[in-house]
Amino acid sequence: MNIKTSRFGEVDVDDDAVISMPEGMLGFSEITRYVLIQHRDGSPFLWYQAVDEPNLAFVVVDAFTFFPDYEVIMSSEDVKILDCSQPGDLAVFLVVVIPDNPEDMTANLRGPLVINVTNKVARQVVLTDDKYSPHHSIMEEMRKQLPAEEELPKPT
Amino acid sequence: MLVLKRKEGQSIDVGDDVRIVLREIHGGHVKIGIVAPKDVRVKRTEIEESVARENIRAVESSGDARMKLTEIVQKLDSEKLLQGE
Repeated sequence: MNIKTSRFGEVDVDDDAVISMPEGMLGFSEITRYVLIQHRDGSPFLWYQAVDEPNLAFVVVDAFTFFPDYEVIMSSEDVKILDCSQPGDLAVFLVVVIPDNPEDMTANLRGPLVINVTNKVARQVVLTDDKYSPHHSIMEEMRKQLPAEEELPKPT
Repeated sequence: MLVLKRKEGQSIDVGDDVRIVLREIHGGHVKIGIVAPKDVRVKRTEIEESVARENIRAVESSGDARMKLTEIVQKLDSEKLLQGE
């Protein structure tokens, strides 16, 4: 199917790639269909683009790439809505805010976007644990992430 | 909004299966116990609101995010090069 986006123009996606969010993102409950678009090859960023609203898109990152020890404790309601039988079905993303000064970039660790990759159902889960902030600075984590390439042994 | 006066230890029933118990009142803080069926979602209002607010900020800041993401990656790349020297 073809979807219209304000940032990428018309994008052709597989019908199976459409993710349904019965309750939408918090604050955007009316918008319930999304697709994930890779920002560019090798980039840790993805776009969570609304199918029916060209302007609406969130920048997201894979939670465990940035925070390997991240823990998502879901309620029975979360599990019911996501209809997941095994944790392997789930992918966890964090919504990123990119202000004018990129050094102030933050990720929302309190409200992760959890996607059941098997049935393509998603929910924004709100964690009860106070240790996770809705605006956690991530530039430090990015600095740790990107140099990995540099550490590869160089051909001599 | 219905406003009720309650004392420590007293409770309020909402419907047939939700009970709110005032466990402890101390220095501007109230400890509240909630007895409810498992499928009733109990939420702390301000946390849901803070997540929704971050979503709105995320969308507002995403208009020119493609450009900003490119800048960030370039910046980190150049830092990486400097470190490598």
